[in-house]
Amino acid sequence: MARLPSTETEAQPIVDPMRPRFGVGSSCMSSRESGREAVRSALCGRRAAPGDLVVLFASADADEVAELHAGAVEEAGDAQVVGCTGDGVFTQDAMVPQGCAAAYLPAEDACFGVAYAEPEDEDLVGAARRAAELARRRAGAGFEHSVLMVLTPGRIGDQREVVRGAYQVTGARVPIVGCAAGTGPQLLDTHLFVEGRTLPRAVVAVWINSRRPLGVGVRHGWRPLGRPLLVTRAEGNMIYELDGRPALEVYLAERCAEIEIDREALSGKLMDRPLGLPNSSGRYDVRHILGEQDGGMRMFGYVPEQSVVQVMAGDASQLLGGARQAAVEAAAQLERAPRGSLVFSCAARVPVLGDRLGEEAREIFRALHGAPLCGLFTFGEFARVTGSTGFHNATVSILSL
Amino acid sequence: MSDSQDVEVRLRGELVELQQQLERSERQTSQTLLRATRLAQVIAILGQGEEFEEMLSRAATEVANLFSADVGALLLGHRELCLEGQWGLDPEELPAAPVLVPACVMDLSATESVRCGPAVELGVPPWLASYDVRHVAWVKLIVEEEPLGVMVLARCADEPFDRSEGQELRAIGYRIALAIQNRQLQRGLRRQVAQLRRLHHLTIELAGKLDLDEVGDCIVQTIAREVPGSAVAVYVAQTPGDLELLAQAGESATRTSWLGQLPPPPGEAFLPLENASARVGAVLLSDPPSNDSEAYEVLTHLVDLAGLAIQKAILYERTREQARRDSLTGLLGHRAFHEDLEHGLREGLPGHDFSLVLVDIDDFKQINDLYGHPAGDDALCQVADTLRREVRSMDSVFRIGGEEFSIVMPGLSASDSRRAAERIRESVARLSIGLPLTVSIGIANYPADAGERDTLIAGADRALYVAKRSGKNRTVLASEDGVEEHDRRFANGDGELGMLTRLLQRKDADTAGHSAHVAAIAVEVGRTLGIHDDALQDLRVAAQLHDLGKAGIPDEILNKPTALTAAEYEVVKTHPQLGAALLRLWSLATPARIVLEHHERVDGSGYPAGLSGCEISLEARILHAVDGYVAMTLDRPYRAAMSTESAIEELYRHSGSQFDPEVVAVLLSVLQRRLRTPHDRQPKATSVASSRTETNPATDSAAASLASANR
Repeated sequence: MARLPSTETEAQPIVDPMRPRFGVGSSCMSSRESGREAVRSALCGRRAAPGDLVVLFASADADEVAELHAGAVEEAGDAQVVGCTGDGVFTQDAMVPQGCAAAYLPAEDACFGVAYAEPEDEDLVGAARRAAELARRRAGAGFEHSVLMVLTPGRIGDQREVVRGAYQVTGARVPIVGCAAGTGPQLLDTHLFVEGRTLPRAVVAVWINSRRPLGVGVRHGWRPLGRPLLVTRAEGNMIYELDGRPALEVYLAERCAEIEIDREALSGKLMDRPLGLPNSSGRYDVRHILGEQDGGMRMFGYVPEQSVVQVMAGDASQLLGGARQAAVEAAAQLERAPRGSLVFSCAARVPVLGDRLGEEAREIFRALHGAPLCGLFTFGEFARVTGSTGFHNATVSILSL
Repeated sequence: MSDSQDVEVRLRGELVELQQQLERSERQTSQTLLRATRLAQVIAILGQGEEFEEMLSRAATEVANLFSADVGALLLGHRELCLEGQWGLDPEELPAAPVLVPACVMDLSATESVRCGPAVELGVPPWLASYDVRHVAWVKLIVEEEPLGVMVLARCADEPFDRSEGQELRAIGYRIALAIQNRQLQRGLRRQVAQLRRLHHLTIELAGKLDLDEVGDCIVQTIAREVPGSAVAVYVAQTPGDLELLAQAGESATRTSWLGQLPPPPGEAFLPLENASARVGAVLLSDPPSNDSEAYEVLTHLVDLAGLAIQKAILYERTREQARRDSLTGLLGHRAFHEDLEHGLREGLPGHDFSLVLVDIDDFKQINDLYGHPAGDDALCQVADTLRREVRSMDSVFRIGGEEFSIVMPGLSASDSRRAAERIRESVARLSIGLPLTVSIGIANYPADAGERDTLIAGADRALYVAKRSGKNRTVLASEDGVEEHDRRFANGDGELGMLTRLLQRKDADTAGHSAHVAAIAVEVGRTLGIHDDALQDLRVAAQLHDLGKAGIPDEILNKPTALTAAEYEVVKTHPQLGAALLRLWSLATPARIVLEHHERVDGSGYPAGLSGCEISLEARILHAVDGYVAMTLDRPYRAAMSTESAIEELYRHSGSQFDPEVVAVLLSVLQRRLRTPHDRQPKATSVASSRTETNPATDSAAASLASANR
């Protein structure tokens, strides 16, 4: 576990053993005991009560993920445990490339409804809708403010369909947040943790009803580089042509790069220069390039035909700025100082941040007034508060409670 | 602060300012780029080949996302709007049709189709207000002045729709309206094609239906399915002005107290079914569609179709009824007699027991010969009228032959049936038509005298025979001593016929059984061909004894298990002459002639005399054909029995050469009638191995095998 550098603005959370509070913990091991240790740290000596929630993030390459999950469930006692794997996990104190991190969300003035659904016939919309409906029902009614957290497998298909299904339940009133589970650099299988099970293919929904407002923020920090390119032929996640020419050829010319087309490694080589689609708020929705097919580019997410894209670039400072803005955005929606946050940061940011990777959690931590946080590196983020499709790449998405 | 520090601060400030300018510039560029392509993106989405509902849902989603709207909804309709696609509404709180929108939205026109502004200014309907929207854009969907619906986008954030967005939404709204119109046209076209296909199937279905009730049901079900309305009923006018309910469907289908009063009361439609000359019925529809609707057009088409189908069914029913009736007397005919008798036996007549009364005009041949055929026809009509007059309403009267009638009288005892028959007989005898007219009557009672149709008819026939032999103009019951005695004597071999029958049985019992079956069919064919009663009796005797001559054929030939030689065959060919000679000995001259000729063929190739055409008596031609058919359906040692179908085929094939075509035609109709009814079973195929006597050595052709089917 890498201890993060402290900063002068770091706030020290006060733990009152008599009161349940948001807490986080981590473990750099990857075993049953690791899960127990992370949850034990998050509970910080408290005892979870029925209705409480423990969110568990584990690195995708952790050995025996199911064992790790089982340990967390044992330690969580009466609390429900949900979570997923990521390309590394972190808290405000530690970056954990291999191991797990846990957050304890007490049901003090909130209630949690947890459910999952497995897609039938690749129907992601239906699975997301069913999971969200059940989670909402299980959360019950009574509190004014709600958020739906959605966790999905990393490579299950068009994640935009998950948002469509979830949005059919949330409508415009309830924000959506969450992530597609991270796979690790070896593109390992991802796992979801829910109801005591470790599942490879499921949409997990956590409906949170809260007495107080909840905050959801999302930003990335990437900037457009180069001229606009018109998507002249596309279908779903495939861009076949840009400006009427083979998409990959145009893209490579635009970034002035001579990259050997190696299908296996192409995704990693192009990670530093995703494409951006302008949105009506004046920002860009980023889409990473997953691979090549017949001269076209398979994108991480839907790109509409006749849209305009630009090659995007970013350095560590810009990305850290984006993370900070996301935290500020989330905090701005709260009535008071946040008690804690869940952070979903895109795995594509990791190579760009490089040595400064740990600073991302610190920036967020500072912007959230020193409230504890627990996060992971993802394969795509969900965040919809207003006027957006809600599925993102290359961003930091934050849920603040 | 030193100059260098000043410069640094200034430069830092400029840098921050430049960065902010850059961000603003990027933001503007982004928005400009998006706006430049939004319309094209929407058009691309609308062009995707999805189902209509999916297209609307996706359009609402994408437009909402492209305009950063939290809620997007497509409401379709003209005056009453219905939610057809949405993004952001709670599925549990979707507005029901008709969906309310601000009045100012409905006033939008093609030239000013968009209204954007703060929600508080424009007003939002209750179903949208709960989403705390702050800015809304209403877009009227209009194509060529035709309003198709409304699109609404709403933002919760404080980000107003600006003027240029309004212009974009106007163009996008027009494109969406065009896509909706296209899809609706396509949908309408598909619906019409499907409807036409269903109507085509209905037309074919109705064309194949002749039963009036089935036609009525089909029409009612189709109208109920294709045309909105709470109830439908179809009436038929069997007689002018008299409407009778044929079929109905729906909750208040019998709400017809106003029937026939025009105009119909509100909420009811009366559609007459008419042909060129008359009204054949009417369709009544409760809560019908409006006269200018597409559904009303379909209804009109269905009504036209219903008129034709009902007219055809009525015509068929009338034609069928006419076919069942005798054209001269108007009584039910021979075919109807068998059908009704069979139906009555199968389904049970009222009271279950019934009497079969056969009525035959005495000496009718003489009436025709002495007074002419018109007088004969008149006599037939007079007898028919008398029968009609004297029977009860539940009785059925038939003309089943030239001068032969039958009556089926349910629920009578034997004595009652005799009384009823006597009343008829006396009424006929009292007729004053300028010529002597009497009838003989035979009665058999079901089930007392017989339990099956054939035996019942045979019983009544025998009673009639006894009545004739006993002096005519009388009524005889099958259960009376005379008839039983006649039966007994015939069956046991007493009397002249019995003795001859016994002779035949002694020689070959199977042949005698075969002959009884031949006789039954031959008499039926003869009756159908109009042979009068006396001649029918001769035919019956001849048929029963047609193989009598085999009594004179040596057993070693008759029973030879292998093929006959030509000489042996010549011996067998003498059996018609032998049989005829025996019958002449007993003064049965007419049956003798029939027997003598029963192996003659109409083409002259038969034996023993090689007669042809009309040189052969009609009775002999009948016997030849019936004998041939029955023989083909019996097992022979040198071949298995032919199937009924094959035997009929053989008859047909040799009609005009071996057999009299007219006889074959009647025989086929008789056989078909007998085959249709379960009681009409042939006697079980009897092995005649013991009577195996010859194989025609001359030929192995089908004709030859047919010829040798019965030697």
